Amino acid sequence: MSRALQWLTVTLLLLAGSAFAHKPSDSYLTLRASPDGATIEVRWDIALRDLDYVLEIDRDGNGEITWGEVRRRGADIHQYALQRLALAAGGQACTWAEPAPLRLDRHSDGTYAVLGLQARCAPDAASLRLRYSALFDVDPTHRGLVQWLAPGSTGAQALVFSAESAEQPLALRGPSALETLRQYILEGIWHIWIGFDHILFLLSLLLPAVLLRAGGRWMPVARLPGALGAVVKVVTAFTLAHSITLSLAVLGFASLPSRFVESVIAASVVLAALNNLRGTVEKRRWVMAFVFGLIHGFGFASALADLGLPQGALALALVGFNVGVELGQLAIVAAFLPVAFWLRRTVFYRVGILQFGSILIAILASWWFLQRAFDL
Amino acid sequence: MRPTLRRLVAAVFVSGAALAQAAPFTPASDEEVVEKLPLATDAAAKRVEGLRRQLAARPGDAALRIEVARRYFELAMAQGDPRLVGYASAAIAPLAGAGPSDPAYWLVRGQLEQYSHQFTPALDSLAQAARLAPDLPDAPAWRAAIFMVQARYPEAAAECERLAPIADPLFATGCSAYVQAATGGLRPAYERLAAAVAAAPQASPELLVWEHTRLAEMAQRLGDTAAAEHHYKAALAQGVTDQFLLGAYADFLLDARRPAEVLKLLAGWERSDVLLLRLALAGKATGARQAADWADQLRDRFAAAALRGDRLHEQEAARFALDVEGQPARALQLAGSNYQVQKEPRDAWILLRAALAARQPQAARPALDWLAASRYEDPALQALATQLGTVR
Repeated sequence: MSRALQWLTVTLLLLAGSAFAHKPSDSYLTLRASPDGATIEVRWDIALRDLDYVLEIDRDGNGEITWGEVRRRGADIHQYALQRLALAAGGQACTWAEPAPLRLDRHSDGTYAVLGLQARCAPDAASLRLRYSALFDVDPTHRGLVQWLAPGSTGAQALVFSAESAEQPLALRGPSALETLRQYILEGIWHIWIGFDHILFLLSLLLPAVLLRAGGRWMPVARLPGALGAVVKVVTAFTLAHSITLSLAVLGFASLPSRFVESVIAASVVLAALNNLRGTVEKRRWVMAFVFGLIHGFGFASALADLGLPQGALALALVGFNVGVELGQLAIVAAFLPVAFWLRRTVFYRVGILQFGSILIAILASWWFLQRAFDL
Repeated sequence: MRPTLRRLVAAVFVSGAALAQAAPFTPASDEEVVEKLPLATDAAAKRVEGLRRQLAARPGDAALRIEVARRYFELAMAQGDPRLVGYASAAIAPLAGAGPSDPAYWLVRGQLEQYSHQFTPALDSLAQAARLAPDLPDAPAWRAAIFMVQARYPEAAAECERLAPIADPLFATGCSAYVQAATGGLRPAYERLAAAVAAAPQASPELLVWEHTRLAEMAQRLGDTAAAEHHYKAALAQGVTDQFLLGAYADFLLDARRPAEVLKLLAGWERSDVLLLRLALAGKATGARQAADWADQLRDRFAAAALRGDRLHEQEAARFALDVEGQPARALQLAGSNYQVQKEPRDAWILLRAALAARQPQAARPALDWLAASRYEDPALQALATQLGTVR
């Protein structure tokens, strides 16, 4: 009975998402191929705890592994490892060169043996496969975590080897720069498309672009180039500003608390909308676009951080995302401007859209501001 | 498009935890101690090691296999070391094909499966154990616990009923009151269980810890913080070390804006991810010196778990993203993913909070549906649900 109870307690504890400072067992491999794929350099880190479990490294059983105990078993460790790691190029087994002397490295959960290996494979093979089977027989929860650098590729690909996926192909081509760029451009477009606060900020600044303030009244501009100039100024200022802070934030040079950023973004929409009712910042709407654009950039940065960033292609991701955001903005401007220009002489535009639209935007954004600033 | 991107990012994403940044080294002398093996000097661990050696000599001994697995699992619980769970799984793996008729096999197998959140196979294994040994309370108790996590209350209640004739009466009462309190009968459940605990002062400390922890949570939901505190104190007074109790009490103190007491309660508990999260939250609230260090440690652990594809920590990771990192979108993604597997009130709570913070009320739909269907009474969850109704 008491055992059942202990288990029940433990179950509830475990089911409550329990986890431990002890990590589960992992080994870490980095495989780097030469340009023709004929040699593959392997660095393999295996926990000394795991090696002790299968090879009894701690000979005297005193609970302490010395460097001498590890060094003397170097040959056994290499033999154990090389029997459980196999590369095949074009269906042909690669051969292992003489391994480098054993070294050590510390990971967050203990000391690991570092094996330096080199595989000789058929050059320019059409396919490459890796079979990993270390420790699975004694610990099915063990994982081999592989970083694979394909011939000529800049970024590593991560693969996880488990008892169920002990053999996997290694792609001979990493994702191309172009592919990465394309994906992040799409992501940038998507983000501006779903980012209502950014859209409303931009629209609030653009609403008066087809009008001129003369004698305290809004007058329609005569020709499209006039309106276009105002639009270009605002959009460029906004873009420049949020590109600066997006880059700074992503590269880790600057950060602001997200609640503050989100609140200020909402406030910026309120101010931009109210400005249309009063026309205070008449000539200098682009300044407003720039100042608040700096804060909007931090908002974009957190969206980009949520996506995850590819190591080794950080700049590409950043550029792509930025370009995507610009394209999204331009699409909005392209849809808005002709319609606004066409309606600019109507009372409907001056009162219905400019006045009422701005009031509605201000009300909605005020509500956002309250929610974001006070966590309602 | 977005899944494609996620795949692409997964393919090229390298976290700091993936590659040891430090350069490998070669120690200067053979005498240098490079690693400590805490288990080598532990008596229980030594016993299991001895049994493992016997097993290597008698690989066909099924009873010995089961015994080794059972002890490894117990050791894993005591030591909090997931490697030992792996060793236990490896010990019984060769028996799987034979369909053993030993209930102990199915029990330990079910425990191992639930540990890795494979709830469906775990329920099957435990059902098999119960069929083979109808008088043992273990299997129904574990099944009840799993059903509670899956929010399958009628099934959980049925398991509690099965416990009544074969288990300690207080244990069976605790089981059914726990279900009743989750399904619209909070006050009667609390009163019934409080009376049962008061009438059984001779119960084992472990059992009393569990019962008082449950009572404390119920009292808190009833709005009686004084009673809740009394139950937590009573549970702590049993002198049993229980991470679940410590975690629940720490949450209670955090809710009550008493973070300084959390730092005292959990001093030295950094090795437990669950408790480290509470330390990080309390550290942030008090501006403690170690706050940044705790947050860094947690970040590393979550990154390491993500790297191997573990999804056992998503509830904690979501809370960390929301309350420490201030990343609502990320928190929502984790909380939503977690809620597909685990549907306890605390899982719903983090999903509702993340959806609110990320201003995506529709993402909280599964938890809101559960709240409505279960008639679970908790003012904090109700308040979140009301707020979500007013977002955009």
